[in-house]
Amino acid sequence: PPGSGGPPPPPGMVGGPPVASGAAIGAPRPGGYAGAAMPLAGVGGQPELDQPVADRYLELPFNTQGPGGKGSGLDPALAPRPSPDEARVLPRPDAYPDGAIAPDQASPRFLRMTVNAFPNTTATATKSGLPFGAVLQPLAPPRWPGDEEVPVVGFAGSGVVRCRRCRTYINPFAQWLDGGRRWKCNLCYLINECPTEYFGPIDEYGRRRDRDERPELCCGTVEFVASADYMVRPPQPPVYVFLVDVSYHAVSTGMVATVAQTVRGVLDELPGDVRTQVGILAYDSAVHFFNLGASLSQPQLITVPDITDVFLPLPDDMLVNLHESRALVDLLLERLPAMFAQTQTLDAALGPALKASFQLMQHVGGKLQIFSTTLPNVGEAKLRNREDGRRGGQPAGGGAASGGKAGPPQNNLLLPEEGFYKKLAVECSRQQICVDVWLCGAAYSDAITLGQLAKHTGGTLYHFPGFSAPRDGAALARDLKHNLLREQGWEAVMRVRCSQGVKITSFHGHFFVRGTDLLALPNVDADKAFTITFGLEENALTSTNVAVQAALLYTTSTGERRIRVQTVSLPVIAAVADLFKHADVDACTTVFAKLAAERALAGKLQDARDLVQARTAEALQGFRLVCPTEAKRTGHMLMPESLRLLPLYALGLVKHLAFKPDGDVRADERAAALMHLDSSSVHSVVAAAHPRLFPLLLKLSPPLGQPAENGLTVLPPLLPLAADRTLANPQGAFLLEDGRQLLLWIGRACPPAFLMDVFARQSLDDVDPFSVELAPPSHSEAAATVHAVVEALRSERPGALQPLRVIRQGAPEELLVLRAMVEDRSVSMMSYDEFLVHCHRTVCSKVG
Amino acid sequence: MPKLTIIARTRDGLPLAASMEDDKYHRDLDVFKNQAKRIFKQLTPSSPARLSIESGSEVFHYIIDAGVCYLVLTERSYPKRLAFNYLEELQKEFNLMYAQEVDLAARPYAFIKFDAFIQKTKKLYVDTRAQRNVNKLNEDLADVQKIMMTNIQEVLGRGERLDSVMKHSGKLRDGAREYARQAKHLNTQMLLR
Repeated sequence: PPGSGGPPPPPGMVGGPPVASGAAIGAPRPGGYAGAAMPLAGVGGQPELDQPVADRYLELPFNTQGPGGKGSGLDPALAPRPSPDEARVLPRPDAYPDGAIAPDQASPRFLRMTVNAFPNTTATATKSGLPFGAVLQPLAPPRWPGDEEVPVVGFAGSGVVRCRRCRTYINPFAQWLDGGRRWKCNLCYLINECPTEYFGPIDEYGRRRDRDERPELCCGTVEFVASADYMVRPPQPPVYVFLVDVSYHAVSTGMVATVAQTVRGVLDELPGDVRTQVGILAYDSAVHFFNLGASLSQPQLITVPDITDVFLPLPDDMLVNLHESRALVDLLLERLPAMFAQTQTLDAALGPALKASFQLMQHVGGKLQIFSTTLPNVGEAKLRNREDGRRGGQPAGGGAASGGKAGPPQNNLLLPEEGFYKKLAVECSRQQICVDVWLCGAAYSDAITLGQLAKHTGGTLYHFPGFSAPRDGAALARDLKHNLLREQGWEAVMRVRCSQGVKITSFHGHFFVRGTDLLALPNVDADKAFTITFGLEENALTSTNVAVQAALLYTTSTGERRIRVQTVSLPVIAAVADLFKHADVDACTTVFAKLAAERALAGKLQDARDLVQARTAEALQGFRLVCPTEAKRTGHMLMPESLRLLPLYALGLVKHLAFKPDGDVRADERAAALMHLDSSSVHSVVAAAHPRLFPLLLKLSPPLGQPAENGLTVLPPLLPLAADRTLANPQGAFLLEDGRQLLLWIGRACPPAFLMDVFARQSLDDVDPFSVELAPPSHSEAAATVHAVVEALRSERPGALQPLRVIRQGAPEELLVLRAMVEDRSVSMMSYDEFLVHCHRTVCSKVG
Repeated sequence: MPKLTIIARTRDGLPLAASMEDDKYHRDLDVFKNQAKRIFKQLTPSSPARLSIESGSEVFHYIIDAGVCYLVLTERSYPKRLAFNYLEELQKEFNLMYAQEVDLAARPYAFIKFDAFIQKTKKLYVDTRAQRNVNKLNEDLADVQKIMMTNIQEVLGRGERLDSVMKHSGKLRDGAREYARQAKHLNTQMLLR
């Protein structure tokens, strides 16, 4: 693709005059980083005059004389597309200060900034049109070769060293003074005394001599062992409470059996050693408790039919130590499906059951897993089918008209209904209870209302529409197993601090804000990400660097209290052109997604789409402003190299299930997609916006599927997400990866030799595509290679388990593949080249 | 019944293990938790090895053994004999499992795993009229009377007095330092003149 390469500008030229020459496509001229050497711009009140022009940019020429009407005049082959490494969402080193990801900065695995620099004034920020924010994934699992363990530091005598005023933790960017007796906080600039136990001499550069032996002074990501001051109670044990729907649908679809069997299978692996506690509750029209006291020979069922004022029938022995009651828990899980096999009730008293679960665990906290199949329809907090009569398949607006009812517009289905669930969630957050919601119903489940439980407690909403054990059992089992066993932190809180002059303007993700800026996270896990956006105070930033520090205080599953601290210190820049050099397209896309999700969850779907498009155009506009005059020809779209993929990803976002216009998206599906985007990491958001499409009809042999020199697996080349250039070929076979599942698309006329090699079958005509499995790796080289590629793709996303599904051309499931074709035009959405032209026109109408 | 159990190191008051209070009816234990913390802070090598400390409607009982303090909070009406029996039981097991590691513990609640045992033992002591406990009560009525009974104010008050002595001596030291500095300054001034 044009302009993708180009050597990064040599570092060490800080302060050089900005080079104002334009560069043609693909031949960028290395220029200097003006960086922080332009502190005067913007201070004098006429910032417009002093902006240096961009020295590197990407030109996309439009053929304005080309065929009008349908044609956009843009050669689709020239439109920017991600390279294999970019599609892996690897951070670009040249977006970082000095062109490298320094070890004293927080690792991008945990903290990704949209721009690895700060603008000096609000005016500069506005002019650039860039989003300023960060995506935090504090317990991110290792993903790439070289992702290391986080160093753990114990402060023996001195206690954790922190700034007296702003409570910042000691970090590599603190300045040592007075021979090491004092240190200056790099966030609030207060001079602190160094505790005598922590004293160490400094060298001639003003750095501690023992810097390299102390991770907190040389690593941007460290973990501190918390002292007793950081505990209001002894570290809590891992507590798991399962609340299972046992109404007719839950039992008949196999949901109860799948859940019971999965939980039974992982009992021995649950974290927490001898301290783990487990409780199991069931509900239909009544609430069923189980006595699991270690002295019993078998579990006792206690049913409380009174759901108006539910109470715990026993003082204890319903939430038990797993170690002691292991046999009983096992027995109960074995019998649970049979116990309710004869049930005929269609009622689900979820509200009362939730209250009972809350009472059961409120004294200790922990994880509450709710498995629901039937919309809560009896007792407190029942919900109604709001989607009734306005089911999917109808175009926008048509829904409300049908059935004669003047129902609210579809958007309002995105607003939670019953206040009970949010109130309970807040109460849960206070008692350190995290709620995960598993929705398995075929009918409307009001995912958005029940999702509030997950949203405010740091939980996850899982959605298996129309769950049936043979088809979805394996997927649910895998997700549940991952959910229970992944790395997680208990009774956690997180706070982000910034240098003076910078403020946090919003938080996005699953949490509850306590006070003004303390994120309460009853449970935080490896997959959860939190997003913040920054703003500047009124005065211009005068310092050369701005620091951001995020601290997560949590209890590990083994009962240790830890503080995981991430610190970055970024240059303050006045030149808009330089801000663009430091931009990170993946993080920008993620921030757009979160901002849009917030709008959508406020019921304004159209606003959400508009926001993504407008913010994309704003960034491009900000860049065009600083491009040299000779480049600004009307037929030429100008893009910063760093953000050349932004339009494509933005288009992918507005076409995503979460945001695309009404009609064929069901309310629950949309709610689940929105909740997922709201809490997921940079990797997941980018994969959702722009899935990866690989061809499989090629020579399937090593080095494909084998690790390359850099440790990353060699994958097949990437294809553009355009159906007419890929799926139009009925002989083809493609693999689509969207971060949640792997779809193997097989053309109608796929060569039998390929099917033989990969599936050990002549044809796929007479088998259920969902149950087809790949031939074992030993079958053929091709099968081995496909296995290796699939495994590599899975290992790149430790959070998502990506089941592999085979989809035949023409099958109804093909929709799953077709809706990922982001570059194509759809009924109400632009194609990629049209969108580029649209962005360009928007920009030109404003800046010419 | 035992309401709050904490095991701490005498040397520095570092908590080693504790029970998660599953007492749903006593959620206002914070005051007592703080008092417990202060009791640990006041422990010295000369502290009595067994002590009961009254605090309002409740009583702390503790025993010290091998540098480890085992403390429990019970109601006033709970038999002292049982409370100490309970602590002894904890002490035996804890000693068996962790005696070697106590000195090396660097972080709070390093032996939090022990809470499983605490919970289990606690259950046996909830009901004072259970046969097992009645037997225990009958075993020996005499020796627990030897254990001193004191009041929380006395224990913590002593700490406060110590604190004030520390404060005064600190002030004195600072004053002396200031005096020395000024004297030096004066001397220099004299020289310059």
